[in-house]
Amino acid sequence: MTLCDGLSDRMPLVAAGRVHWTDEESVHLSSCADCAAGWQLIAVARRLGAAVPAGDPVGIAARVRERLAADASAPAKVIPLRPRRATGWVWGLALAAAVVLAVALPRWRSTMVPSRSEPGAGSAQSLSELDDLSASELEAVLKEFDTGPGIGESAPAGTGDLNTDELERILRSMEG
Amino acid sequence: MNQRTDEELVASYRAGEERAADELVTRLATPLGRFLYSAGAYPGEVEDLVQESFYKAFRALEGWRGDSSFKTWLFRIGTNLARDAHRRRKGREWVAIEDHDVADPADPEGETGANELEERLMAELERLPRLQREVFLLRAQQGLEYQEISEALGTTPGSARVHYHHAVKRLKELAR
Repeated sequence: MTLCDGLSDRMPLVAAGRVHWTDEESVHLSSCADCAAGWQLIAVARRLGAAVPAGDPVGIAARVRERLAADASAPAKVIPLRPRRATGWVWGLALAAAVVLAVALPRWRSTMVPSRSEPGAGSAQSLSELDDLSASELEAVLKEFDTGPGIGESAPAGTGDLNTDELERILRSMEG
Repeated sequence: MNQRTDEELVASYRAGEERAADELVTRLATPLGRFLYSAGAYPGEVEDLVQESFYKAFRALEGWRGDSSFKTWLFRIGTNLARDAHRRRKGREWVAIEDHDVADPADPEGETGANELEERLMAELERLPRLQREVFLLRAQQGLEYQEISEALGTTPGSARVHYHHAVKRLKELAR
């Protein structure tokens, strides 16, 4: 490395006050045009941006502290006890169970409860003990069905013998 | 009374002394702002970049291992922020100053001449490759060692030295 290269390399550090010229370097600097040009370049570079204010350092410090304080007072992020992935399959299973229930429940009910559109089916099951009756006995039972309250009709107990006026009175008394 | 080093101030801030952060900002805001402006940041965005750099630095202080100096680390954050800002606005518009190259004979060494030299240097810096420009400024303007520059810019000390000398060779013509 030539003396010029050495000087050029150290110029910024000398300008910053971190190191100092030796006597030999000082003499060289005053007599070498190339090094003098380099020295002037460093001087100009050190002045760059001096006219552009970087802002009031005290104000910047205050704003930085405000932002840091806001971060510190923000509620901590809630971390789930279990990873989200581990609970995913539970929701999937629950959804599958709901679908199965939605499809299977109406079918299951239809086998347990007689449908209103098929009144005879329920009667046949519940009256199977009548299979041993003779034709005349069955006829008599059917007559009783015809005169009694129909399937699905819900006449209040004890009101079958009342006339219209009596029913009206009862209803009024119930309504208060 | 001895002035505390940057690293001592960081340690005090970590220990809960908020005033240490103010002192760091007061000490480093102006050099950082001048560097960012000289490297190509708009004058109007310099203050925001400086504030954001300190905010990010203090916020990430727990993860800072102290391998490099606080100043170097801060400048690295600032450089990255400025690069992001530059990418967002696709470069800054530069004013050609060739018309102003002739020095005022009435004021050969005065303020006008100095300002013109700075403007010419700024224009010439813009023409340098980004890394070469940043290396030159960290060395010539901020007086950092090659090791510190390499830490700030994510390169090697040898590469920083080569970039610096290439930049000086090109820029020195201005000072002749």
